[in-house]
Amino acid sequence: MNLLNLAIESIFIQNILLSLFLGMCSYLAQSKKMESAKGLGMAVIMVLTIATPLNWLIKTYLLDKGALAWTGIDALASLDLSFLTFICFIAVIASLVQIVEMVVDRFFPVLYNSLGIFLPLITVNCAILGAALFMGERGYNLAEATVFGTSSGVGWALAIMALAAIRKKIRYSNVPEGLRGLGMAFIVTGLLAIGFLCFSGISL
Amino acid sequence: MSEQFKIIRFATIVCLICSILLAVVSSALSPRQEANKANDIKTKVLQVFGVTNELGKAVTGSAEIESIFSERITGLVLDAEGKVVAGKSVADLTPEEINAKDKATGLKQFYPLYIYTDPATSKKLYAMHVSGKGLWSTIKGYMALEDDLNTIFGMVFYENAETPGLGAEVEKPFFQDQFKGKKWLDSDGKVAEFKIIKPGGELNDHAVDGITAATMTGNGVEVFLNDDFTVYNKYFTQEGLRK
Amino acid sequence: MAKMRKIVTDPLIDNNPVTWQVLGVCSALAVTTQVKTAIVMSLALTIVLCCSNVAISLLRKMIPNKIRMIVELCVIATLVILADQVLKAFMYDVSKQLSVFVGLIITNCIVMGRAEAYALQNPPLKSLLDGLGNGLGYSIVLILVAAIRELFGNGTFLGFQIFGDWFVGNTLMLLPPGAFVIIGLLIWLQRTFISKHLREED
Repeated sequence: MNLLNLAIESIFIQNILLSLFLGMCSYLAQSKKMESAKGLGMAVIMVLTIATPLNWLIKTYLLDKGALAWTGIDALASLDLSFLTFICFIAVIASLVQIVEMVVDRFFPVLYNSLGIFLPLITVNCAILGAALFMGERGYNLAEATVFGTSSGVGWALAIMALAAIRKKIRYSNVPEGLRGLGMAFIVTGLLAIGFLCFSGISL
Repeated sequence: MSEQFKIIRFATIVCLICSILLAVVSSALSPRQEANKANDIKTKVLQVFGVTNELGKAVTGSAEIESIFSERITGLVLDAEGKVVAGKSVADLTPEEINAKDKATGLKQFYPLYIYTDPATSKKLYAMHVSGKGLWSTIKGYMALEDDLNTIFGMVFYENAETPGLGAEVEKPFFQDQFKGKKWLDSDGKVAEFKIIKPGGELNDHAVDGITAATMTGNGVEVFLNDDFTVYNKYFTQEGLRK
Repeated sequence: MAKMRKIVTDPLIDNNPVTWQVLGVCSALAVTTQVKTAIVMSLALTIVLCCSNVAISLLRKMIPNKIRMIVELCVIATLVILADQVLKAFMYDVSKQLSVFVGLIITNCIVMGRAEAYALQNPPLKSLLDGLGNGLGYSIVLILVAAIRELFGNGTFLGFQIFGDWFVGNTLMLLPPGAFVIIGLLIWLQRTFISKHLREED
């Protein structure tokens, strides 16, 4: 039940893009077409689902203060490697993205054709690193981290697809010249975010 | 030299330089960071006890904090049963250990109790640490009691990530100041349930006004204030501190 | 000399990385509820950006092309960790408010983007200036947005009360949607009055 609440919270109430502002760059750049928005959204869900729990394991069993206690070596047990958190997370994400790309290419060629070009973009998508850092900050356990990762991805995909759909319509509207493109995208995102604020009244 | 070897050599050198640099800086700065963390907790405690410097401002200098702490404040660590934990002092407690309640990290929750002795009147004040879930973040604070262990002397919320402008207002004076003078016990000396009610409702000695449009945050605060007081109250009764 | 100056001034308004190139807006928004955090964040990013540009530029002839991206990431991550450690040691309060957003400088597209697009082809001094210019361009937007949000959301600037008691803070400014709309309007202003010659089709 708790996990379901967490999922609802991270998809709607604290949407990773609309309330935490993560992954804005690719969100704005790739939302011009529905096709690419969909592809990137799916790719983000996939990578977040794998990367968040993986980073949780690394954080809990390697980096935290006293995390190396399982090795049974006294000198390691008191070590605090948490200053390496950022570099480890980003390395894990970068290599994971590469591996996922290779695996998808080898075993799911159809999927690769639609997602392939988006995967490399994901390394520098702050939603992935952001989710990993928030997971640590909020002290989730492994199950929670996995659910948080997946549902953050779903929330992100939802937001980018919504924007892509709206931008498609706006293209045929008479927007003031200076506001065309990027400016309007921001304002529409603001309105979307206001819409999502309504969810914050839900009691979980 | 083959291409591959060159790449590996380059990568190794970059990694080595980066890691050595990081390790050196991190170990050089970590005492300072630890001191900051400890100072941070102490500042909050002084704030809830209403200790100010000559200018009436919050005390911030680390030397000053240190001297006030060693002269006037003692602390003990309690467990969830309200028993004193031997061999652990408040200075050892990490922020994680006093906010472990809602997390599944398996860390044990400890309850620090700070006792302040006024240098002029030698009256005592007691500060409890309270924390728990609001609407979507952990809200943390200290509540100080007067020496009857009943009347609230002060309330300071020092951390939350509630909705800005709504739930996050718990840190504003208008909310915190209401707690002053409220009581935990009813006229028969029994623990009364503390309430945070909708603004405009009927107030009594055990209730404060909530924040408009932040009912969920208020409900959360209400629950953890009562839960945490129950733990500290076990200690107060066991030790017969309350006259 | 004029050319050098142009490297710094160009990204400030005309070719601003945030409003024009759409880079690095993620962190630009989350830390802008207060001017103070925005200033510290801008400083951290500008310093990281300058250092990473210089480092990448120095290494540009040595980096094997195959592992280019990962080396850049490694250098940037190292610098960000340094910045984070220094903040934790010397500005503890602010670092607590910035929480994970200092770490997110790693994936800030400005840093990666400038390394890829500029530092890899240019000598250290030019790269330094480019980093400085882009960092300041980012700072301008960040601090402007923060000033608007803090002033109208709280009635304060850098924590000092500006408006009197009559002022009721506009909560929407402090909530995420406020940030999006403000940036949108800033872009509109910029494109209508300042960078008229630049046009983008949607």
